[in-house]
Amino acid sequence: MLGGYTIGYLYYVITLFIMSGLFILYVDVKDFQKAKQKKEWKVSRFIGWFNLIIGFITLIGNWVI
Amino acid sequence: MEPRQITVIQASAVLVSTIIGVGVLALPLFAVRAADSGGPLVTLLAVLLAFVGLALITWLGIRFPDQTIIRYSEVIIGKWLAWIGSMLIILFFAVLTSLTAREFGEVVVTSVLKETPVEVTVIVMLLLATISTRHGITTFAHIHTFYVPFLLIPVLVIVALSLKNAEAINLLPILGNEPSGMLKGTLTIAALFQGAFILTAVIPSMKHPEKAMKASVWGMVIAGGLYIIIVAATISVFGSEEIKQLLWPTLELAKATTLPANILERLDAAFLAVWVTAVFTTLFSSYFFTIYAMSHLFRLREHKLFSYFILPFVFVMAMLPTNIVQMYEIIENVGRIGLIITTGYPGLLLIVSILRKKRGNRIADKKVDQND
Amino acid sequence: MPTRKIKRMVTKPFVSGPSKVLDKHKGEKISTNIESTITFIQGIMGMNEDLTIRRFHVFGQHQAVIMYFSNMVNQSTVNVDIVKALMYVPPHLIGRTIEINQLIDVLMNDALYHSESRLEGELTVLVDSLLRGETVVTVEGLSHSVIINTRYIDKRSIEQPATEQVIRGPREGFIEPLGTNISLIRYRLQSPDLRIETMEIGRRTKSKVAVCYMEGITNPELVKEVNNRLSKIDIDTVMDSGYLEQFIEDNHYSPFPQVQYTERPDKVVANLAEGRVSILVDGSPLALVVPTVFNQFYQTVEDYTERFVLMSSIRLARLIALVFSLVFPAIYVSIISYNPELIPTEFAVAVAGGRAGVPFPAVVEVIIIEISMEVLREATIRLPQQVGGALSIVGVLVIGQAAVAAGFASPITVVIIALTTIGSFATPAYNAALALRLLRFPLIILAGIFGLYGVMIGLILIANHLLSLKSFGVPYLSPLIPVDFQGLKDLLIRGPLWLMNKRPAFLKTVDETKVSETMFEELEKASTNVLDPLNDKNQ
Repeated sequence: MLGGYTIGYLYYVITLFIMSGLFILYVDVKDFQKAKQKKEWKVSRFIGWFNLIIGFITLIGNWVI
Repeated sequence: MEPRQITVIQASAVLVSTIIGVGVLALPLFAVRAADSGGPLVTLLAVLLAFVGLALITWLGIRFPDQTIIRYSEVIIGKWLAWIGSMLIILFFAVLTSLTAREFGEVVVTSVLKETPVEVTVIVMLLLATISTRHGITTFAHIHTFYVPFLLIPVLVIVALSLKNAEAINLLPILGNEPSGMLKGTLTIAALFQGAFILTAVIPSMKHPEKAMKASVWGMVIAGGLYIIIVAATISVFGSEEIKQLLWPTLELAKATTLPANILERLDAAFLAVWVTAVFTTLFSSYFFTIYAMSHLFRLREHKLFSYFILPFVFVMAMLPTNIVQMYEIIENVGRIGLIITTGYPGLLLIVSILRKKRGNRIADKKVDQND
Repeated sequence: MPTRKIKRMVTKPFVSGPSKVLDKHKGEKISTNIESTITFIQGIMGMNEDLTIRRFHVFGQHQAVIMYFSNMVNQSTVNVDIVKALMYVPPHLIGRTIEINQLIDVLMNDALYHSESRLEGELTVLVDSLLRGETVVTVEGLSHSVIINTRYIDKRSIEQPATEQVIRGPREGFIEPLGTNISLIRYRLQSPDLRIETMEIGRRTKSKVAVCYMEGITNPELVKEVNNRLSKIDIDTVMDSGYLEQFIEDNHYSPFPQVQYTERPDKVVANLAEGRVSILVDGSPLALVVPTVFNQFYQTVEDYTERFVLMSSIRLARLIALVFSLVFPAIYVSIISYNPELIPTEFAVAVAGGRAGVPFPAVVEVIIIEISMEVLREATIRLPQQVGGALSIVGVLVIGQAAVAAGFASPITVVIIALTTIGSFATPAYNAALALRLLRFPLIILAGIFGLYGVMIGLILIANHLLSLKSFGVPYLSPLIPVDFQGLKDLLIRGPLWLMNKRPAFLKTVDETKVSETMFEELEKASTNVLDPLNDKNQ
């Protein structure tokens, strides 16, 4: 509860971050590895993990605060 | 990069279905707030203004037929300035996507699915866009071309049927009682046409980019004409004072219409169903442009990796406004800023490119495709 | 994140069984000692009772043996054309002694009466040819054996295919043997342009697969791509052309089929003439036709054999039935549950009355009846002819009526589901009807959750999927998207035959014209009929 705001949609956000991260890691990364597109593969791995981590941080942060 | 396959008809279809979107419901309200019964005139002025912006973009696109705005802006004003401009464009379109999704969600939750949380409707629409943007730009154009008849025909039918209740005297005086509000109204309504910026991404994939101006004109004529007709029909049926009380006048227009022989009544539910398609195409365009521009900015060959990536971010932005009133305020402000980005920035680029004599590959040098 | 390697079928050698032994001996030549040949073949074939090994004397002098599978050969051919012909010396050679080195020449050119015979030097090929129903004749002292094609397998008669019946049109359908099917196609396309190339697919079934196309019409790249995809197939058994379809299609997970199949030769010929490629498999009466686009699924042969005005309206009716079979239950659920105000008032009262006693919400009720309908459908396929017809009528009427009376279905639901099911039968292509049948369920669920929105979202998802699907590179919704004016003449209505003068553009054919340009002018000219009273010269 930062600054008095409560966001009722937090759980939706967490779900979206985690699911999108997982999807990218499982589908896009595999596709790019198969097609041997190195640059896309690296970028998609990065953003997949990025989303996943943000999701987890928000989840834990929500617990703690 | 896919080979060039988009025809002029497909490009105009992209424009038409992108422009006709979520704003269609609230449009008469904006028009009437600005100029009372001068609504159709304000809309016409807005169409002209929007066309200026679109013409600038088309001109630039014809000048640089092989590149999107992300790339040729780098050629024109140098890498770092172009990067800032492109980032602004991408951010703007991401915000536009989120606002469109939110407006859609609000309409649904208010009119039909009163018990569903607005988050769900927003997520469903965003997911739809996410799944559909994973394909290439040719499929993108195909999808728009497919949906255009489904947008145009029901709207025209409803307008035609509603004329039963119309009174032409509501349309007078043509200039409205307070012409002073016209300028602001023109800007607000012209902001509804901003989706047309997608043309910068379409022109590099067109079979004949030199014909892009024809596509722009047709797209604007059809979409703009449809908007003017809607405003005129709503005002003539309800009158400008009544409309100021309605949040979504076009919806009310559908509600007041019945099919002959009483086959169906209270067509607003059916109209909303068709309107879902219109919103989808608009959202699809802005979402696609966001990730396509991102992929060009980072010199990647695929854009589909970003489709799921930006979903949570867009969702958060969509949920930031706390209620409908705040949402519409934000829409108006963002719309005005957007005009600077979609009209001012290309205008600047065009002037600089003429001054610095920068051009893309000339179209005459390209081999003419045999199977055309 | 772990990325799993995609398992690909590597051509493995046979692990066990006589095929393994055969692989080891590949390339070996036949020895001149027939006993070793016989031992080898008996070793491979084992104790097969239908393998006949019969020794005899050629021309009364040389030891020879004839081998064949008795159930796969035409016994009289073997007797008369081979054994008898070889036992007697040809009349013009009587009295002369025939040495070993002349024997091959004499056998092939003078003695054997059978036209399809050849010499073979490799040992393993003998086994292969025996398994195909050919007869092998080995003579002591000769390093080559004679192989004669005596294949004869019982087949059923040619009859109208059960799933593709027409009123006006040929009543012939493909049967299992590939030779008959090819003959059915050949006599309809008596042009030297028709090319039929065969290959063998299936490591144990070694099924013969024929690829047919019209040279000079079909795009050669398409033929190359088809052959490419077929050559990559490495599986044990090919039981039906459906097996091949699943390997050559573009998108394995889409509910919509990307390969069309048919049992009618006239349909195959029409598609070949348009520029498509057809694939036939020995042992399967269904021919595959590629590439496929969506509008082929509601076209029938009758559309073209009957006159265009009438068949256009019937085609439109079919299309409406198709769309209905997809969306009708979903729209019903959404209107009843979320938007009852759309129904005119008098009708709404009737519906409400019917649904009064039903304990479930509309979604659940519709899903229950739909599932029972699907089960009933599956059951009726397997019922024998006599019982099937009556039982299905009884089942639908009685059970439906009983369900209504028992109170867990409303009459209007039963009517809607029945209409939907009948509508789905109007789709001529079974595989497309299947796709739409199954897509109904997610639509109903979406309608139950979100009302008309759900239906729209479901339809948008389906439409987007169709728009992105490709069959051998051709967009699935051609000629609608991308727009091709020639193709549009055959989309919703069936244009007159003389107006459909070009082949579909999306097939990128080599030769475009179907109807010559002067044809239209010819039609326009008034014909002078002697029988017309106005033209009567005697007046």
